[in-house]
Amino acid sequence: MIEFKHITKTYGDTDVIKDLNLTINSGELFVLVGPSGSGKTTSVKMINQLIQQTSGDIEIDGQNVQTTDLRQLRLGMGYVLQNIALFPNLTIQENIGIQLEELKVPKEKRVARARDLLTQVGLDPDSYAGRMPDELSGGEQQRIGIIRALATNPNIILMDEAFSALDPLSRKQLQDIVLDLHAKATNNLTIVFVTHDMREALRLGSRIAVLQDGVIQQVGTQEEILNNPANAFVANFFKNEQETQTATVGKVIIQGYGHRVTTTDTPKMAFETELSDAVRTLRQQPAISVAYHDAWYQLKLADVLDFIENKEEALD
Amino acid sequence: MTDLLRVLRTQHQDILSALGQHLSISLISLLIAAVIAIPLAIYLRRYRRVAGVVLQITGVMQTIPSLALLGFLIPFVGIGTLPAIIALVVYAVMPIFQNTYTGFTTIDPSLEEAASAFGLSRFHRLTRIELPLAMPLIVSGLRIAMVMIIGTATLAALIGAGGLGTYILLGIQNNDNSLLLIGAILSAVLALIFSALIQWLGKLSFRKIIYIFAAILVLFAGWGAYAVISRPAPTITIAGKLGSEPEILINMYKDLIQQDHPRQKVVLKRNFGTTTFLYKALKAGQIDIYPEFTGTVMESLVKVKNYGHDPQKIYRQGKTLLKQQDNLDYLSPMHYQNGYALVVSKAFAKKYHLKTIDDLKAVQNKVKAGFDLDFYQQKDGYPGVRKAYNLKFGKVSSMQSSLRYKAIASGEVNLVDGYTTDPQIQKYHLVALKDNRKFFPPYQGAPLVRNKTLKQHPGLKRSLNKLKGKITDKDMQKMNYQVTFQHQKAATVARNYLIKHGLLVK
Repeated sequence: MIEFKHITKTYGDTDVIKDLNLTINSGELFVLVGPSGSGKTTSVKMINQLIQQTSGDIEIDGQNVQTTDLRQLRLGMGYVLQNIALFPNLTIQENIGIQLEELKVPKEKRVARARDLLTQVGLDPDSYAGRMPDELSGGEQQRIGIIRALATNPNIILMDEAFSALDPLSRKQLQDIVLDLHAKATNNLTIVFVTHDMREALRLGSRIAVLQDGVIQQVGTQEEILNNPANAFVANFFKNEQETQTATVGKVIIQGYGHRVTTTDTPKMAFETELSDAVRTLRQQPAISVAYHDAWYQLKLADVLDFIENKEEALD
Repeated sequence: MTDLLRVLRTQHQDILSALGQHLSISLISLLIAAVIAIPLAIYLRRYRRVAGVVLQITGVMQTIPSLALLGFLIPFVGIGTLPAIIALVVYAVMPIFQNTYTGFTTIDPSLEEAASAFGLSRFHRLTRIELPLAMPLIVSGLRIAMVMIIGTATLAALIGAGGLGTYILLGIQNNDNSLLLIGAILSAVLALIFSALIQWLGKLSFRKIIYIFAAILVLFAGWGAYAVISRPAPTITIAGKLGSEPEILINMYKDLIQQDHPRQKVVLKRNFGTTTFLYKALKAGQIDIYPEFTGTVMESLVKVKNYGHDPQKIYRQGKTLLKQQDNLDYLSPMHYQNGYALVVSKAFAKKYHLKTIDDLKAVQNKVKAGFDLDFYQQKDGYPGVRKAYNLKFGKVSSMQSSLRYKAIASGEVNLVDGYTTDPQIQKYHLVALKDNRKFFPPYQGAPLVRNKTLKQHPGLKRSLNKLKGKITDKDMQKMNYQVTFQHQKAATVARNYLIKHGLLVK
């Protein structure tokens, strides 16, 4: 259990966090969501004391983090960063084992643990363990980032905008991995996940806290937040998700469907094209291409159908 | 080319020892600079402002001309290896510090964040993450420093630290390209080899680098300890200026001393630099003896003006003043005079029956003279001699001192200035005309000795004075020729002379 008790944080004259009170239960996949500058990253970094609060206490299972030995505190916690931050001078398996190395775990055990974790996220240890980080794609690198945080079998993992820099497809895959690892964990694993993306929040969070300007607006489950928003800000923030009309190809891609391609020979369609127009074209063509974030994404009819199917489920 | 090979054949041992000196001076300097700069940069990586100040200071040190720095150090640490190493360290600190600092401060901050978030200890973070990431830049800093050190170390020869610079200076002085090439090529090769070696070192793991570093340190410490322990009981140190003539003389001193006192240890420091360096070293007791000319004593050491032209009087005046000024003993001079001379080709002299400078008067219209820049301008050079002998040459041009012998050999000019014992006189079949009106100031060589040394070693004076009145201009010229152009060993040439003239018993 992680408890924030009357936490404030001030940088110069600005209050970044104002009297934050929050309890994160053991075993939760807890999401902190909010627009940029809302104080969510600051809050999560206080848990492992990368940032110190101006006042108030943070307790983990009743133990104040500020009186806990810093090294002990951090070694007992996993951490996943937005820029992944794999150490470029270490191999994949050395990266995964870095905390174990600090704990003086013998090399054979570190290697075995790294190989086990690689298998769990669908990467073949024989071909990945000895490689250097820059030989991997962004999505693959962040998988390593996640299992690196799992290496010591910690009770708490902090993830700070972990997937924000990735393309929609990798993002969706990694979200699945996080859900899967959390479900499979046998040690009552608590994950604190920070994101600015409300879809990601809804997808992952067993409970979600919505932050704005350093103040918690609402804490609740997916349903509570979508159906009973505490105030106009929360309602507005999640409004887009509730709007079901006028689905566009852009939405399909943002949700993680389709494939990123380097060259395209299929018909190009604008991001705002309505889904009905896209389906019409797809009856004649094998695929269409849509520009998104300086890259091309290819959609097939099957992708659109998957999107509609999942959307129906979400509405049920 | 054949010259080069001959030098290599006859002097390979000296060259090797110069190479060794160069190498050890450079390596020690690099090691000290690295030991200072790397930990300092690592420590200051979190104090940007202080690091900025340090960077400024090291930058300023870098801009001090190396000769000025060496000169500045002499009053504090004397001459020889120590000031050379200090100067080199001063130069090498900046590139190593700057690169190490840049290497550490340009590490991606998110990697630093990750490392601290994982709870890595300071040491673990430094050795496992930061140092390896900064290593490429540190290594390139070391390479820059090493190449610079090896290049600058050639100047160490000027203050008696030896090394490859000795050959470069000798080459310039004697206009001998083979010596120049040996010095320049070897230092370039040394720089290349070490640059490659350091790069290779940078690719090794951190642990191996530490091992190699430690091994080198232990090696040097051992060598230093050995040098201290094995330092022999009181020795006499004899030094000589740059060039063949001083080297021949100091070898003679050594032979003469050891003939009388076979157990006496004598250390020779050849090519020890210029007048000022030697004189300071003598006063400081770093050397005991060096041969000096009476003219130089008057001009540069006791600074007397208008000292006349009488060799005896000048010697006596110099001797008295040196004794008063610095308690140094100026022993009896040898016969030869290494002074200015007007030099013509043998053929020219024969054709017009030239023996003295006065004889030039008759052919002055036919004279095409080439003079060294200094000689052309100085009062005791061409302007003076022209007045004293009332001469008016057909054509006079000034040229670089190293070129004038070539000019007379090729017939471009038919009269040049020179020194009476220059080996080129023999080499190019020239003759020095007699200064029959005794215009040129006399330059007689004699041993200059510390009074303390004379007291510690009774009999030393007697041994050295055996050269009193010995060695003619011709003899010296011939010996210089043997060393400079035939590349014989100075020690051999010196010994042969002493034996031939009965001063040394085989």
